[in-house]
Amino acid sequence: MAESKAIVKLIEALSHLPGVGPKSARRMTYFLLERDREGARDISVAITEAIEKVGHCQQCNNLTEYDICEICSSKSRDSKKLCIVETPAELQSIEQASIFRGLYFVLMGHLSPLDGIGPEELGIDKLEVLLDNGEVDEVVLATNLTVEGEATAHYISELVRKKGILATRIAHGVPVGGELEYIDRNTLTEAFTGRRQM
Amino acid sequence: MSGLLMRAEKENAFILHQRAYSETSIILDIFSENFGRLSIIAKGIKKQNSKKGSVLQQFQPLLLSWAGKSELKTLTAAEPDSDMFVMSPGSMYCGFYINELIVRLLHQHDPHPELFIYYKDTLKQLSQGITEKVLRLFEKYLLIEIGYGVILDHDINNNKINEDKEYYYVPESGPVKTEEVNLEKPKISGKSLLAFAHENLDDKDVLAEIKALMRVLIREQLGGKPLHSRKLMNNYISLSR
Repeated sequence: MAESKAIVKLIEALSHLPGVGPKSARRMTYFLLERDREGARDISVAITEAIEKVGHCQQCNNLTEYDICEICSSKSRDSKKLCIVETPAELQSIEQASIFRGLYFVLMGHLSPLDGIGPEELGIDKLEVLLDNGEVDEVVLATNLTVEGEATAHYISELVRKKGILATRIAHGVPVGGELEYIDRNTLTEAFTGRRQM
Repeated sequence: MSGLLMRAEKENAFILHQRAYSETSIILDIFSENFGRLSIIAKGIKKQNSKKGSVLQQFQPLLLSWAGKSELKTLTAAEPDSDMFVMSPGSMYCGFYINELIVRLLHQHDPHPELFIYYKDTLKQLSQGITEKVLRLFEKYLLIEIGYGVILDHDINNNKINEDKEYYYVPESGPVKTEEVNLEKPKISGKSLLAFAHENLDDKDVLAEIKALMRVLIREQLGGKPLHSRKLMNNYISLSR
């Protein structure tokens, strides 16, 4: 017996999720239809609502339901410090560690000339407007420790320096709980070049 | 190109480009010594306990192993080769440029072992802070490797280049004396042509002329589509001044 059109459609829709192939999508579909119709309805309402309401913050690009996100509009945050990250998920990781109380700017990616992604695609002009407002005195570059992430950090640091603002880069090296014996050469090199006085 | 299982063990290679594939995997565009350019999937690389992630970086000499029957191979092992190259920001942008040239001008699965050695040497020199000279020579080698000769020691009439004369460079043909014809082509001095032939690029004026020449020749090969990395490199240079 062929599956009904609606079921096939749901399977295809669920396959859009990262890490979900057709097989898991089918399992999810049957689970929802057979055992958790209430949950399925919740999912459908939540997705529709999120798609309609969530957009990008006009100031920092982070995902938000408002024009200006809650972090950017918060009075308790330090508007002198600005942290640059590649994605909203990375912003969230930093927030969960609650070590940074300043504001953010989300690039939504990194410089990648081979993909045709340059400064304009990352909204660097928007960042410049933010810096020109004059409040920020330190930009913390928290892009990833990949070649593209580094290139992005250097590019922005030049721009920031030109405006007379301090640019800092997050430290890299041995992870907490890491044992030197098992650490790869690249990371060890970074750890030694970035050593500090005790 | 599916069929027989292809396997490579500890092949000298560099990563030209990488892009996210799924939540935890990436697809690598690599340049290997004996197999040329290939696409390889590295599974589970972005997981927290994956050790390969920090090894798989552009501009680092690697030993890669892979297997697979289809066009897209699967990475089976990765380790760093000799000493790593420490790239300054400036040299990193130059590296993006030569990587983009390779991706745009070399076909997949075409081995270019000599160019590979030259690529490695180029990256090494870039990491030592030599840029302009190295880029021009790499461009020359790359054009020669894809069968596009760069004629520097004689003109199109097969006369030796005269150091004191001016030439036009006609793409696909070669230099022609400016006193013989009138062309809308890039001009270059005999002195610069000979210096480039002998790979002696210490003179600033020579270097500038060669840069203009190579820009035209490379553009011919790219068929008009601009190089993103060149634009980025120029942006960066004007920022960091």
